[in-house]
Order: sequence, then C-alpha cells, then structure tokens
Amino acid sequence: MRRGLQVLGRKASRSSGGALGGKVNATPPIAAFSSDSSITVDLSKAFDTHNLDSAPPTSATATKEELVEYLRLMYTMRRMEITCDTEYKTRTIRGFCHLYDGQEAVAVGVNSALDLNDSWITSYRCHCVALSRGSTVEQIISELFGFKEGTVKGKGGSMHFYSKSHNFYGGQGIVGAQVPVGTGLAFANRYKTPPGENMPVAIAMYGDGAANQGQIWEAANMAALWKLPMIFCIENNQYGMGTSIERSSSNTKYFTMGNRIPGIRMDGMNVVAVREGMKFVKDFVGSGNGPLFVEMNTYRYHGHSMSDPGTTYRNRDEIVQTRSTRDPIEWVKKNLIEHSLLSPDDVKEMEKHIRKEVQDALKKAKAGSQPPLEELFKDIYCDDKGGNQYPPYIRMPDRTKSRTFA
Amino acid sequence: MTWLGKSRRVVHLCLFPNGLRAGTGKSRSSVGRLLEHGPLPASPVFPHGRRSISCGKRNNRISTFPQVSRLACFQPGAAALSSSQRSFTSLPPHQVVGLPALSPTMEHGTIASWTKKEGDSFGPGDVICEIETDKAVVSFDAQDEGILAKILVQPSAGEVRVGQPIMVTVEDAANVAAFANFSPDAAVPAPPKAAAPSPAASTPAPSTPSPPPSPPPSPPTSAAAGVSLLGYPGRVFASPLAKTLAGQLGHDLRAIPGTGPNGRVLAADVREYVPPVVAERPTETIPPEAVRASAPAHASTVEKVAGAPIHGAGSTDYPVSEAGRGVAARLTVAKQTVPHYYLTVDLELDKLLSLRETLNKELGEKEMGLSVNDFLLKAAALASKKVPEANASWHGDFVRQYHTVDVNLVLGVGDGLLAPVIRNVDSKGLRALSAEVAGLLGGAERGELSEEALQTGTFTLINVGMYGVKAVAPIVSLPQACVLGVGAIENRVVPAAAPPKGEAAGEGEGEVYRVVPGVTVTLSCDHRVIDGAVGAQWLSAFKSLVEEPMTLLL
Repeated sequence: MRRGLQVLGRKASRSSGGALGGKVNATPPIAAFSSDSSITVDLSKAFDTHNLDSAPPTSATATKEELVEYLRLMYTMRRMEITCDTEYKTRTIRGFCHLYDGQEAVAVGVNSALDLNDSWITSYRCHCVALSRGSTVEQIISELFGFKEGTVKGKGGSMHFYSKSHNFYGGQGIVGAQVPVGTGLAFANRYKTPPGENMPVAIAMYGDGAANQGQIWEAANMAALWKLPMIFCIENNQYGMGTSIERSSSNTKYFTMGNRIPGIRMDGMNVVAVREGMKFVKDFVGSGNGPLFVEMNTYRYHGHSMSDPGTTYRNRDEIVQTRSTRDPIEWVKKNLIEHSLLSPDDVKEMEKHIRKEVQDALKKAKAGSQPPLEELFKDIYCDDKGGNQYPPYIRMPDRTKSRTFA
Repeated sequence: MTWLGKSRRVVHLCLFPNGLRAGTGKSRSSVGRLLEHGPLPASPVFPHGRRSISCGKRNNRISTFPQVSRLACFQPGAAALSSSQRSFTSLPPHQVVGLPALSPTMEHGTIASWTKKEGDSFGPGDVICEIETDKAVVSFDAQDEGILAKILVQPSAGEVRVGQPIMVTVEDAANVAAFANFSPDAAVPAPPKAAAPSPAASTPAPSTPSPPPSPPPSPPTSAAAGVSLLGYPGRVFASPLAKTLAGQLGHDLRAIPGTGPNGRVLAADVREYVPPVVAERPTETIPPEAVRASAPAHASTVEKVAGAPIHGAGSTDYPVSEAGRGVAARLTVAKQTVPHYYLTVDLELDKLLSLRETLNKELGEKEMGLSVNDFLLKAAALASKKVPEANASWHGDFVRQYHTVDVNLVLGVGDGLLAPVIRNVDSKGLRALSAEVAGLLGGAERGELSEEALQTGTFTLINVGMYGVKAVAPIVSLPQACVLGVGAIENRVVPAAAPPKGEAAGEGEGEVYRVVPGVTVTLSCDHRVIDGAVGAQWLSAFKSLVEEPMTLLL
C-alpha cells in the first residue's frame, strides 16, 4: 500500500549528477514512508542513464515479506561466504575461491527482477548466484570441498557452478569469457521466441576488470545489430583484482561503454534499487529494444580471492566505512526495524537461524566424499537424451579396448 | 585505523575455580573444538523472546545454552577448528581459534603483534592481530563480531604452526572472565597438513567426533612406462605402427631392438628384425670371484637373458640381467664387508715345468697333457691341507674349517666368466684334475654346467696369465676365506744362487744372474678368518710345493 507519493516522470536524464559514482560517499536513503506491511523507497538518486529516453521509477514499494525474503537470502549468502573464508583458512577448501560478500544486493536484486526463464551467466565470483539459481548452501560447500554431493558432482569447484534447469550457465574461469557466451544465450532466446512476444532475457555479469575487453564490445555490437534481449551487467566493485578503476579504465562510467547502446547505472548496495532497475531493464530489452549496459555500483569486502588480503591496494578505512554506511544487509535491516516491520529481536532470531542453517549445511557437506574414479569419464559425451554415453572410438575407461601387446 | 566499539573490560577474577574445570576435565573441549550441543527442537523463524544464557552445571540451573547456531556459527574470521558434539561443559560457549592459513602455502607463522587485547570486542573487518608469514606481515581480520577472551600465543612465543590455537573468542562480554586461565588441552592438535601443490592429497581439518571429510584417495601411481626392455613383462616402448606390425608378423616386441628416440621400437625395426634361429644361450656376466650364492635353487630361477642393448645419442645401454645384478650385489657386499689383505709372492717354475714335461711324455700323445694350472691347483689344495686355517669360512661367531678342499676355478668362457667347483682337489691326482678341468671347460663353453657344478667351494683360484697380466688381487668370494690369483708366466732374470755342490755348472757358473720362468701369485685373505701369519704360512707352503713339485707326492 503506497501512501501519496508523487511519481516524478524522468525524461532523458543523461548521467544526472548525484548518482552514486563515487566510492563511499553516498548513503542509500532510508525509506520515507511505511505502511503496516510495506515501505516506499526513494530511488531518485539511485539511477543514472545513458542514451535512454525512459528510466526506472524514482521510488518503489517493498513489502515486508519481500524485504524479509531479501534479508534472508542476503544473509544466507553472507554467512555462506564467511564460512567459505573460514574453511579456506583451515585448508578444507583449496584452489580458487572468490568471495561475494558485500555484493549480495546485486545477486538478490537481479534474482528478484528476473524469472527462471531468463538466462544468467556470470564470472568466477559465482557462489551467490549459484545459490539464487538452483543450488543449496550444502551443495555449494560440498562442491567447494570437491565432493560428489556438490552441485556439479565435485568436478567443477568454485568457479564452475552450473544449473541448466534453472537457466544458470555458470561460473566462468576466464575473465570476460562469459559475455560472448551470454550474448549467444540472448540470441537463442530471440531465436526461440515467436515474433511479437516478449523475449526472455539473458544477463551476463562481469567485473570492472573485464569491462575493457574487446570481445565484450564485439558481442555488444552484434547484440545491438540484431536487437538481442541481452543485458551486459558490469559489477563495478571499484577494483579489478588489485587495480582501482581510475588506474585501469580511461572511462570509469562503464554504463556508457556501449557508445550508442543505452546504459544505466544503479546503486548496487540497495537491493530495491537493483530490483526496480532490473525490472525496467528486463522490460526494455525483452521487448526488442536491443541490449543494455547495466552498471552495478557495488563493493566487495574480501580481496579479489582468498590469496589476496585485500588491503594492499585499498585503505582499510574505506572498507570499514563501506561496511558501516553502505552495507546492503544493514540497509534492509535498518529499514525493517525503523519502520517497525520487524523487531530487532526478530531480526536477531532470523540471523541466528540462518547461521545455524549454514552451519548445519557445512557439517552435512563435510560428511561427503569425493567422486569415484568413474566420474572422470562421465559428462563428456552424451547421448540424444543427455545421458552419459561412451562413443565407440573412446577407449577409456575400458582398457581392454586398447590394443596392447602385454 | 578505525576501531568500532572498542570496549575495554577488566578481566575479572575467575568466578569458577579451577576445580570446576578439573572436574569436568574429560568433557572440556580440547583444542579446536567448538562447543556444540545436541540437536535443538526446530524453532520457528521468528521466535519470541530470547533464550537465557547460563553456564556451569554446578550452578544447578537448567542450563539452557544458547542456540547452537550462535555458538557454532560464530566465526571471527579465524581458522575455526572442527566442531564436536557436546552435551555439557563447564566453560561458557566460546570458540578456540587456531592460526589461520593466510596464504595457500603458509605452514608456520609468528604473531607479530596483537592489535586487540583480551576483553576487546571486534567487528567484521577489524584487525585482531598481525601475523608474520614466510612472505610478509599480514593482518588477520575478523569476519564477525565477537570479544577476544583469551590470547594463547604471545608474540614472544616464536613460530607457530598453522592450526595451533592462538586465541579464544566469545560472543558475550560476561563470559570473558571465565577464560582467564584457559589453556588448551592437548599441546598441538594435528594441524591441517598443507599438502604439497600436487593435486593429490588435501587432508581435511583435524578429525573430530563429527565425521570428518574423508581423505581424498591418492591418485593411482601412474605405471612407469618402461623405457627400456628390462627383460620382464611390461609395456614396451614402441610406436603404434610397430606394435601392429609386430602383432601381424608374430614377433615379440620385447626382443626387437629399438632405434627410435629413447630406444623406441619403430616399424622399420620390426620389419628388419629376424628372430634368432637357435635359442639364445644365456649370457651371464659373472665376474671371476663371484660364484653362485650358496642356494642352488636361486640360480635356476634367475633370469638369464639380458635385454637388448639400447642405442642412445652418444652411448649404448646394455641392460643388466637379473643374474648380473645379483652378482653385482654380492660383489659389492664382499668388497664392502670383508676386510681384505693381500700377500704376494714370486714363484720360480723351472722345476715344475720340467716335471710337467716329463709327465706329459709319460702320458703320451693321445691324452691331453697336464697344464701348469693343474699343478697349481694341486699345490693350492695341499697347501690348504697344510694350513687348514685357510680352508675356512667366517660365520660371525664361529669360523668353519672344512675337511676337504673344494676349489672354484674361474674360467673365461666367451664374454663371461664362470667358476665351477672341483671337489676334493687334495685327494685327486693330477691326471684326474686335468681331466675334470678340461671337462668343466668344455661344459662351460657349451653352457651346460649343472647347478651342482656351479656351487661354492672352500677356495677359489683365478688365473689371468693367459692375458699377460702380471698379477691380480682378487675379491674374496663370500663365504670363503681366501682366493689365489695367478699371473702370467714369464721369463725373469733373478740373481744367481750359489749352486749347491754337485750341480751341473751349465747355467753359467760364475754368472751373476740366471733366467727362470716365474709367476707372481697373490693371495687375498679375509682378515677375520686368517691373520697375516697364517696367510704367510699358507703362501710359503704353496711356494715350496710349487718350486719343489716333487713334494706334491707327499
């Protein structure tokens, strides 16, 4: 239920000022109004557009149930990533591990705006997207342990989560490689949709470090020519591994990188802003207007990966300040509490419950086991129905087919 | 550095005397165990009110410990060592934190400094301490809120293993006091082993009552692709076409010499290969002194065929057969363990040679004549009878003296050497000895020596005179005590002895020198069995037998 708010029609605002281009200076606003079961969020400063005649609304409503759901999901993501950090430090998880804490609002916002028909592909920082699309905490942690109970049977690891049934295409180890693949997914969506209907969209998320790649422009060019329902989503967490955006990019306004392709920048720490923005984007590209460049202004608390302490290229003060002023989970909690939708105790209980859930999932995951050796040869070739099949010209795993003179 | 909510707390005197902890010693959590309590009933998502926290069974309160989640999930970003099921404890809920692996290769670290003190609270992102790793000084950040209850490792403690407990954290400030005298149970738990970068073994966190992750199976050791044909069944290094051709032509790949890189058998090699018509005779390369080991059975199972040579860039590899390797091993042991010493003497063979001529004339043309070697054999055997201590063997705490003299005579056959045994040399006549030696030689040449013939005797004789070698100092053949090496017979100039009365003066009476056929023999002895005096006695007996061969009759 919304109480008398004027909806200001925004027109062709070309990169209006005051948007969250800076790093740590803008605090997302607390909602001004609330009813018994919903709040209204002011989004007037949350969006910047480029070459767009329309824009997402300047305010949005979020019901209590929605907010609670966002909080639950974000907090689960946060606890899961912290658990991964701890497990990595005890060497139960090894190899690559890129953590997403701080950026939860992006994943949750995108997840709430898109539906399961929309294809989603992202980079190696994919644990939380995997959680949104098809995996449970237990499966994710199992996968990080390398156990067969994991999402991809222990054969993928941190960077290669995947779920076809949820239209989640990973999980990519190579920086930027997911973008042309995502454009292909958009192409498939357009190809399969009868004309006149809204197409399911495809979103490829990549980082500011990948944003300057040539292949991304090539894919964007094709997407624009063919008017594909493609969302090029840049998760700008201000640092590409250890390089700040000012040092890595001549143009730090990544949403303008499409040149004539329109773009929009949104506050990635505000889950409602992300949701509203992505709803707008989905409508825009799904109706055949061509691709959009979407920049999520966000922040990661951890270093680039577990090998990176994260403090050698940025000031610790910056991290602390972001945590205290722009933390996405704190924002939702504050909104819930200040508008009396939930008491602080309730929030604490929920947090406790989620912690316990994650701990239980960790324990269950630890009880898993590595995949058997036969798994090595599966999921490489498949038959017509997608099941595993060994073509006759493959000798493994049956060595008797090898001709040896023993 | 921004410190959030730093609250200093005075550490109270411990409210619970040590006795409390001692009483529940067994159940007290040892290092690295989270407190975790039995499964609680599922609570609704938003329960009303909190549960009370109390600690200590002795308080006789119903201990309703906080929810599992709060304790178990509490992770101040540290290496939380495993969790365990606990039903009660005397300490308030806490977490013992071990030294984290701040980099994947970190094994040890030193606490450089503690940024937080005991009683300080911290929040996510706060630095708790600075840890010096092998690479750099890295800050250890907290990931959650908490309060530092107890510091276990001070900077002065030096290097600490990854996983060793360094601090105790709690959630509730009131619980800090309980840990004033906390010390971990065990000295150091098994820290998570840092596996080598090999993908193989990443061991899980230390085992706990809760089922630990099963250790990954070690990858199957890749079977060594046998590069060389070593004479036993295995993968032959050959090109696929060569394999096919060999199969078609019915050749054994193992027998085909390879001319490809690393000795690979190529198709051309297979085409050119002509299998031998006659079965290859065993080519054992047994050096003179090392005869078969005592067990004859061993010899029969030994692989006799050595593999084909492998041609490399600047060299050729000749694979050593099983027998050859065994011989090499025995020789090494003999040379390394037996305290050798060598006694040398020059012999004058003039009388022996003239006696030999006489005897051979008697035997006539039909028979093979006696050789000098036969005389020497007999002399050696009789010398062994005269000095029986030399006809012995070392057995650690006793020395075995033999009653018969069985001599291994080392024969050169083709490329190799054999040392068949002649039994009871001391009691055989020269003719019999000669015939036996001839028989053995013939048998060796034909490769027909039986196992019996190749056993170890009590003495060994090696004659290298045919090669013109002046002297040889052989290696004692275990378990024998000595071995005689005979050199080449050559005419030597020796000082003239004063001719005894009555001798013919044909040899140059008044001359200073005379020319005699001489030979140098060397006796190698095992000093454990024969000391120098005994060896010298033997040699002197041998010398008198050889230089006065008539005494062989005695």
